[in-house]
Amino acid sequence: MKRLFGNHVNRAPRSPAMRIILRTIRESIAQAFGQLRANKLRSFLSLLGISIGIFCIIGVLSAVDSLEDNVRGSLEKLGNDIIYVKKWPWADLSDSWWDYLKRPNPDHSDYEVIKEKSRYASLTAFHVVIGFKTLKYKSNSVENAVLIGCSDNFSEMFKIEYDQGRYFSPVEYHYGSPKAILGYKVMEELFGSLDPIGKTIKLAGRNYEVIGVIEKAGKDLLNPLDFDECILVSYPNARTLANLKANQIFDTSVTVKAASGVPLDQLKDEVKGIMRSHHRLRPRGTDDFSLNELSMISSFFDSFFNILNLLGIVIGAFAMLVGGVSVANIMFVSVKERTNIIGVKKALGAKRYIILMEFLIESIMLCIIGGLIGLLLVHFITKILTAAIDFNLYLDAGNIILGLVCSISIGVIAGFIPAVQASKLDPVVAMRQGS
Amino acid sequence: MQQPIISTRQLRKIYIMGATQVNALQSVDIDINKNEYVALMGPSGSGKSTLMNLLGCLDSPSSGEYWLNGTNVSTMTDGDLAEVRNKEIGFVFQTFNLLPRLSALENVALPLVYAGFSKHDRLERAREVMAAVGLGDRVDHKPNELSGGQRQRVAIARALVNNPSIILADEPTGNLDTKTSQEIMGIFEEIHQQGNTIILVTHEADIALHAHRIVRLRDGLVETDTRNENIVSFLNPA
Ligand SMILES: Nc1ncnc2c1ncn2[C@@H]1O[C@H](COP(=O)(O)OP(=O)(O)OP(=O)(O)O)[C@@H](O)[C@H]1O
Ligand SMILES: [Mg+2]
Repeated sequence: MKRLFGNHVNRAPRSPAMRIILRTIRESIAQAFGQLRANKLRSFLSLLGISIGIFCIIGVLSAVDSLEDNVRGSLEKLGNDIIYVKKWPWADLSDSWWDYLKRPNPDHSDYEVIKEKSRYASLTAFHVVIGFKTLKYKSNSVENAVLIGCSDNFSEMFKIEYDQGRYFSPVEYHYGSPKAILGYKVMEELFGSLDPIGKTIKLAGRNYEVIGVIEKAGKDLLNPLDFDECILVSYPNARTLANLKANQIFDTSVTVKAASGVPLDQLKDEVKGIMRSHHRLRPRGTDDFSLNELSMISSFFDSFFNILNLLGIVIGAFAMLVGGVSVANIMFVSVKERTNIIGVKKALGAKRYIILMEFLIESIMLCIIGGLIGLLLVHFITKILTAAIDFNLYLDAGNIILGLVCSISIGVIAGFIPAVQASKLDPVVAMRQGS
Repeated sequence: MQQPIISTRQLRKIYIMGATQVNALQSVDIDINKNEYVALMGPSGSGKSTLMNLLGCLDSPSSGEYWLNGTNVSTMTDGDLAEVRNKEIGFVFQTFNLLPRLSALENVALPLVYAGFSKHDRLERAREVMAAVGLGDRVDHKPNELSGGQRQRVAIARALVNNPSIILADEPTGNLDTKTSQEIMGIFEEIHQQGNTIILVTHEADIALHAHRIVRLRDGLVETDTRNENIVSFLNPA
């Protein structure tokens, strides 16, 4: 007679709880994939909600991150440490628009006073945008080139880089010589492949010698210092081209750069005082100029991006809610279908937490798969857009992690009630359900 | 006199269904010793399955006491009962209750999962028991690739795999033909021979004759409890 139903093998298990949990996790993951395979359409539809949700949230966050980076980078070229003295404020037009309109433009004398009196400025410059002009070189012509008259240290102020040539020399500047500096596009259209330096072009019927070409602007979304379509002449020369009195419509700016270590607010106070006394404003009267700085534009963009982010999150949250409800539904059906099996497992010694974990992990897995699909979608779309519109969109690690955390949370929330329901099943009742 | 492995006192189970209540078990006092082979008989609705579920710790009594291996399990928590089922009890059901997605071997190994054995140990032990019930060559089959008799053998192997104190079988031959039923009864007899304690519910008198003791229930009470004088055996044919 074979002695096979031998008594007690009794190899003591090493770390039973851990082993049970690991096995349950593995089994539940397999179960989730089985679920996907067995009910392709149903699973696809539920995962779609999660995918769309993650896609919306992470897509928008990624887009905004990319935009923000780009815009911030561009804005920084305007200088964090520069005050723009202008007629109009960059932000906060809330109070009377009419008062702004009545103001004079800051003019060259304002520039001279600030330059002379400011102790906190390292550099002061002035420029006036005169408007669109037509340029000619032999039979070539460029319409709508933007004519800018600049002070002698304008180039230094904005760290202008030259493709060819140079800025006005002090002598050229002093005498207002008919010399011009071209933007890259203007140069291309006038000269093609010819060497432009030293050539003579026509501006408003007069001859100008080209002494420099400014480097091509980058491809950023926002390009505050894009000189591609501009022509620069010295301010003394510009005065001979147009009447540049303060009451004229030309857009003028005095730019003041803070000396190193000087806080912008301190410089602002100083410039404000200089401007007010120069304009002879009464102590209680309002300013007739605006002191603009980069942070005003940044904060405008910040609120704009915040709105975009919020929009993405709200839309995504709705999609996730729908997805979560359908995953919960799948899980309820799953519990119903597997009632008998749950009963058997319990009869064989599976504790509540094991059954709970089994369904929770399955739900989390489903949501992670849905989330990964959404992330993959974002990834491909950023790649396509980056290639198509020549702008660097990207999906970064932080957003990937955020997407996965969202998926897992939805998985926990969607799976919780079905899992608790499964774990509480009475084994006797459960096993009676058809096997 | 040794301590009985199972001992119940005024064990009672009442199902409340809305306004009416069903006395599935009125009051059952029963003692079963180690290595006994008991057949539980009685008309339909007499409370056989209810008693089996209580003895198997699948359910808790409404009142009364149940001592298993000297511990009072009638007051245990859910989690403790799961552990008792896993370690002390082997179930064999009329409908086999195998998990359809798992192979025969994995089905047999399942109780060892909940006991926390390593995969290697689980499969080794499961193979051993599969061989013992004569299915050594069917380990990789899925339940739906096996005959009814073979499925019940897998279920028996699963019941044995954890070396339980008692084997509970609720109409194990109910879904099987006569010949296959005989084979299954042969296996139970072997298991009993090895020193195991078996309680078996059956409707059929000839199946009950394999047991050494026959308990009859009626309306939730023990009607008769007798020694079987003419045991049918495959091992020591009369
Ligand atoms: N979950 C339940 N809810 C309500 N009543 C139940 C429940 N389970 C069993 N009963 C009732 O308890 C009584 C005993 O049922 P039980 O299943 O123990 O009988 P049985 O002897 O196993 O019958 P059978 O031979 O038909 O299997 C029956 O009247 C049944 O209707
Ligand atoms: Mg029954």
